[in-house]
Amino acid sequence: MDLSLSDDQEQLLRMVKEFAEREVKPLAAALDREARFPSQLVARMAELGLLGIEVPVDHGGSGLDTLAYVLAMEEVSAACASTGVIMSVNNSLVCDPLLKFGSDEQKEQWLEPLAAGEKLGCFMLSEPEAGSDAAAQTTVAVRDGDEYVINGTKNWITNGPQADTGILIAMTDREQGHRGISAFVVDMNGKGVRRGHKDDKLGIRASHSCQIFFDDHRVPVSQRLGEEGHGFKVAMATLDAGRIGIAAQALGIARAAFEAAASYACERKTFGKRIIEHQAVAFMLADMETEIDAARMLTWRAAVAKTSGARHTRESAMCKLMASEVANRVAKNAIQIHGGNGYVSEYPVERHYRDAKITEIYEGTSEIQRIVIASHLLRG
Amino acid sequence: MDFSLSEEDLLLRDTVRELCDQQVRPHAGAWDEARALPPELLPGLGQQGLLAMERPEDEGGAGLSTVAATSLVEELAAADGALALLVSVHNHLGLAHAAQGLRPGPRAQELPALTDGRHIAAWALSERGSGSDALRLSTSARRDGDGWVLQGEKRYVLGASVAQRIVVLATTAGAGKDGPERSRLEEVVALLVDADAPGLERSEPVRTLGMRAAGTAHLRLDGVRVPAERELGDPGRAWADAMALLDRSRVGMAAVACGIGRGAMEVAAAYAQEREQFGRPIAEFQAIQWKLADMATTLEAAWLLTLQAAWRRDVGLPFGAHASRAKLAAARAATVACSEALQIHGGYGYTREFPVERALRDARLCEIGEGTNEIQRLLISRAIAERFAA
Repeated sequence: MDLSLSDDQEQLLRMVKEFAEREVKPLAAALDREARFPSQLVARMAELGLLGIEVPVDHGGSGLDTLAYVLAMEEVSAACASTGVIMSVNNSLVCDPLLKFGSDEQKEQWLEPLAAGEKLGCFMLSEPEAGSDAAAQTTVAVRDGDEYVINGTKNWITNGPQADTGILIAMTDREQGHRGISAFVVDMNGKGVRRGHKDDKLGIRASHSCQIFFDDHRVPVSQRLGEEGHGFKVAMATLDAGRIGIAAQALGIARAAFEAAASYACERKTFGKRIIEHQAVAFMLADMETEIDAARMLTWRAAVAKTSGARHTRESAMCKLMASEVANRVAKNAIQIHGGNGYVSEYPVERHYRDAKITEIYEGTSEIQRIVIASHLLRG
Repeated sequence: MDFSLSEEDLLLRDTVRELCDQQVRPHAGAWDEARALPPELLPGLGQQGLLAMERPEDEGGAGLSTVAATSLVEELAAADGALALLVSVHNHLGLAHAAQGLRPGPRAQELPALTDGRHIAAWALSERGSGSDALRLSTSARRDGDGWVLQGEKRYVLGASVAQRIVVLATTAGAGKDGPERSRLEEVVALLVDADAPGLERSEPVRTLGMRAAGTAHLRLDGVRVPAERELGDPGRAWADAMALLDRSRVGMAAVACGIGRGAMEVAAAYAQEREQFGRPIAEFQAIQWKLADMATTLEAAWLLTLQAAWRRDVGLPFGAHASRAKLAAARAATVACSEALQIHGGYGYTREFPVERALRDARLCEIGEGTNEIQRLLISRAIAERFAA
């Protein structure tokens, strides 16, 4: 057992902390208020190597491990959860499957510009009628000679309005059920790809999502990611990794809310003393810190498991479940500690509260995580 | 970063798991009923090194790291929480205090029997009027010639019924006119007392909700004479020593909670796959799956916090607040998990035919002993206040 960070991890953490504190945090409230995509921050993340953290250096990435990615995600998300998810999608949901399942040609053509941050990626699995039941895909990719012809609609696609490149999950053989699903890499500016209006969301408002419509979009067979029929496996493996990133995002949100509440409790006075001196408040803070620390341990464990190459479906589900629920509880109580001030956007905690909610939903709802965890427990 | 136990530590844990399967798990319910452990059990554990886990090998101990010892306590607790807690208290409070506090002469006399399982050492701090407010001591230690004289009462001394030695914390301050006042830190002394010393009377085992086999008793100390050489630690430092020992033992208590919770969860998961209602195993109902998923997640998170605190101690980092968080999280997770494990068993869970009702009763102490949940929150929040005050 060794819970210390490596020099590389420490170094990245220091760098990202400074970036998050100086460049991201000051913009977060305005980005949220205006629901403005943080193009300049995305460009800075590209420069800093934060958009392809786990991609090897010779493929344009930073060549670090999953724990490094998790540390960076927590810092960026603590400053701005919207910026965090933009980063997470590019890293976990786009670079990761290309790295794991892509051919050498695909890596060169598609992965390298994404890892270097020259292009931005999105991941298209959800559909209007296929959320938790991800195998219920209706988007089809029909083989036609050396090409596939793609038709269908994808839903809630984070980075959809901006993305240059997308990972697409579609049905190639409806008869086969989830074994008839395949994955593709697509050019989002290609013919027959149309983006819908950006979704008007409760939280993470500076990260944009939209529907994507495919209307006879043709891709060469060379853009299929992995074997035909292996798309569901690609999607699930991708989410196993992605959930660790979302857990780290949730940790960041939770920590930001906790720190805001702790600072506030040390200043605000009622009944003649600082409110942190009232046990009702102090004990809430103690529970918040305990839960955040617990969720962080689960998240780090999952990250280490992924880097080791071990199967980590259960570990990912656990950290995502706990971190997202902790983020929601912590943000809720952070508002409570702020009282009336917490309810207005002059203070950051109402944003943290709104941002926290999505972490219980995307990349597998809490209910899906519980199914995954229970199935491992009962199988074992 | 690496969360795994070493090969050696894993082997050791497997050995303890086997020992539990053979000698502990089948009997834990009966020991609970009897409110006692069989007399040969503890010397047997002593021979396995479990009663001197962190003592150096050249002094007869097992020479384990905090992480390794913590994993063994967790394993014991999955079979029997009461036994695990007794082992933890002996190792981390009684023996640890004696080992660090005795001067060379008496140390050479006392340590061998406390190391190999012949002697168990309990640790007595709580009193009728002094629990969370631990400095409000009324048990007094008066210097008399070549030694100390103890007068007073101690309550809820876990392991006192089976112990041969008891560390007693007492105050050199006299009582105020309205009863005990809070002692100054330097007025506290720690003395290693023979359990059969004249004037020391142990009550019958206290009728507790759980942890019944751990031999919890009250003590009456009426003019108990203790030789000066049995004072533990430097004069004026006993309170600081005691608080540092409690930091360590809370990691043990956290491991006890994690083990009890895991044991109950495993029993519940097995039961859920056997028990059929509405034509299928109840494990197929999401209502049951949800409980199991939440138990597993909160228990594993608490276990990682526990290992974190243990690892920090091993590498010499501050770990007190981490121990408090681990204990708080583990105790909460264990109580909830045991309650849900009982719920999964339905009516059967409420009977003594299944081990989950005992687990629930045992787990409950983890929220109280060695600092209540509230005291942990107090300690954690004080550290937060220090960090965030501008």
